Parts: sequence; structure tokens; C-alpha cells
Amino acid sequence: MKKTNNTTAKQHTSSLIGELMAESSPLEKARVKNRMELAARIEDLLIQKKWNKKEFAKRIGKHPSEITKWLSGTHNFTQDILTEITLVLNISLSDLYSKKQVQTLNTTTVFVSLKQVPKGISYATPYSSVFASELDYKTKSSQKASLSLTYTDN
Amino acid sequence: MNYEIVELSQLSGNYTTIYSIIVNGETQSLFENFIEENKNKHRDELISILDRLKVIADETGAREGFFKHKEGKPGDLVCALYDEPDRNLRLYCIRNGNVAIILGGGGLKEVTAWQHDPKLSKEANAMIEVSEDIFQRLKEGDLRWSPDGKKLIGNLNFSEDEEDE
Repeated sequence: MKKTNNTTAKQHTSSLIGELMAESSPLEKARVKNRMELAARIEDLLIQKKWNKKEFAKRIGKHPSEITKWLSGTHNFTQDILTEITLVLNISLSDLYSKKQVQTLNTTTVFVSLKQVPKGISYATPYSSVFASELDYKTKSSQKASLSLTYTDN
Repeated sequence: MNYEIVELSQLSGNYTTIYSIIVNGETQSLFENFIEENKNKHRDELISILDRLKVIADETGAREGFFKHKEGKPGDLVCALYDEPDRNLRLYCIRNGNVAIILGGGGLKEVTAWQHDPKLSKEANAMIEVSEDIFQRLKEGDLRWSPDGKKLIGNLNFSEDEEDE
């Protein structure tokens, strides 16, 4: 039986990181924080509405790459764009700056063993179904496959 | 590659743990090498990157939108911090949801794809290798994420000799 190793990572401090962090001005820090928090707030509102970037882009009449920039946390929004966003999201400007939601998102890796099964038995997921014969074709024989699941903690 | 995963205590916060890699027992991590290499020519950009990492760690978490994805192989979680407008300093990392990131190195991106730049290829490939090693250890049970996903627990020292055994 494998021994459980409960070691966590060594704490590493760096004079180089400390030196550069100390050079950041309070104004620049506040700019960065505000841009990132606003992007995070817009992302939360899109999640709330169950809109992906493409859907939001369509509704606001922009290219999806523009939305990617908005959500990157580096964008300096103009008042006009913020007004457009609030109209499409049907919220007020103050709602956009209201207290952020805490979003915790973890990724868990799950290891799954695949094995051959008689032809004609179908595998189904909420999104697709694959017949055993196809699956056998894709995996050839018993193989280990893995997938990553993303979920939100509430 | 022989290396150890370490936590960058000045950057880690309540929302996101920030790690980097120390190769061959050196004193600096890959992220510090990245800073060292660019501190003279791109100092302001580095300060901004550090400010952003601190906001990620303390305030927002590592939101998906803050990163450029598909920088590595499919499913390997290798990504790059999103560049600021008109700036091209590329920093590679591995993102575990919103709660943990492992910072690697990077460089100035002047080509459309990192595969066309030897320096960026080296840095991106290093993170792809780290991601594969972590994945392997998670699979074998030598490493695990804490229940909240923020901390890597287990054997964080990777050596080529061990992998060959």
C-alpha cells in the first residue's frame, strides 16, 4: 500500500520579486486592481445569465475577440462601452461596481479505465452517445483514458 | 529535467496559490529567471505583471479570461498570462482552475506562434514537460491537490532518474 506523503511545497521568497513589487506605485496598483475586478464582475454576470462570449458578443454587436480583451483584465473601458454593457446586461452602472461574487473554480482530473464490451451496447453522456463499436475502434483495446472536470464550489 | 515545485510566498494569496519551478537545485525559480532576463528592458511591464498576479492571488482568483489558453498540448492546462495592450512579454504557466497557478518562464513574443522562436519554445516546452510530470504523479497517487484545489500535496521533487526507474 502506498504511503501518503503530506508534504506541501517549500515557501520561496525572492529579493528580485520583492524589489520590483516595491516599485509599483499605489496609483498603478489601483488601476490594475480596478480593471481586473471589473473584468471579473462582467464574467460573473455573463455566467449568471448563462451567456458565453459568443452569445454576449452577438447581443452587444461586437466580435468575440473584443469580449476576450474585455475579460482579460487589461482593458481600459470607456464610459460609453460600460453604458452599452449595462444596457445589454440590463443592469445599472452601480450594479457593475457592486460587491463581487466569490467564484471558486477547481479542476479535478479523473482517470477512467475503458474496456471492450459487446458491440451494440451504447455509451451515453448528456452531450453525446458513442456506440461500443466506435469506442473500440478509437481505443483499440483496454486503455486508460483521462478527462478533466471543471466545477464550481458554491 | 530535475526540478522542484516551490510556492512563491510573496505572491500567493487567499484566492490563488502561486508556484514556480526551481531547476537543478538553482537558487532562482524559472519565474525569477524571467524577471532577471527582462528587468532592464521591460521593467514597467514586469511590475505590471506582478501587480496582476497579486490581484489574482488576493482578489479575483485566476479567472479563465486572464489567460491565453491552448499554449501547450490539448488538455495540459499550459497557458500564458494575457498580454497588456501593445505589450508582448509572454509568461507561460500552468493553471489549475481559479485557485492555483505554476509560473514558468517566457520572453518577448515577436512571432505569431511560440514554435517559431527558440527561447519561447524552450520555455513553453518546459511547462509542457512539468504539466505531463504532474499529471503522471496525480495519476499514480504520488501527488494530489488539496480539497480546495489550492495546494499541491505530495512529492514535489522531480528527477529524470526517478522517472526512468
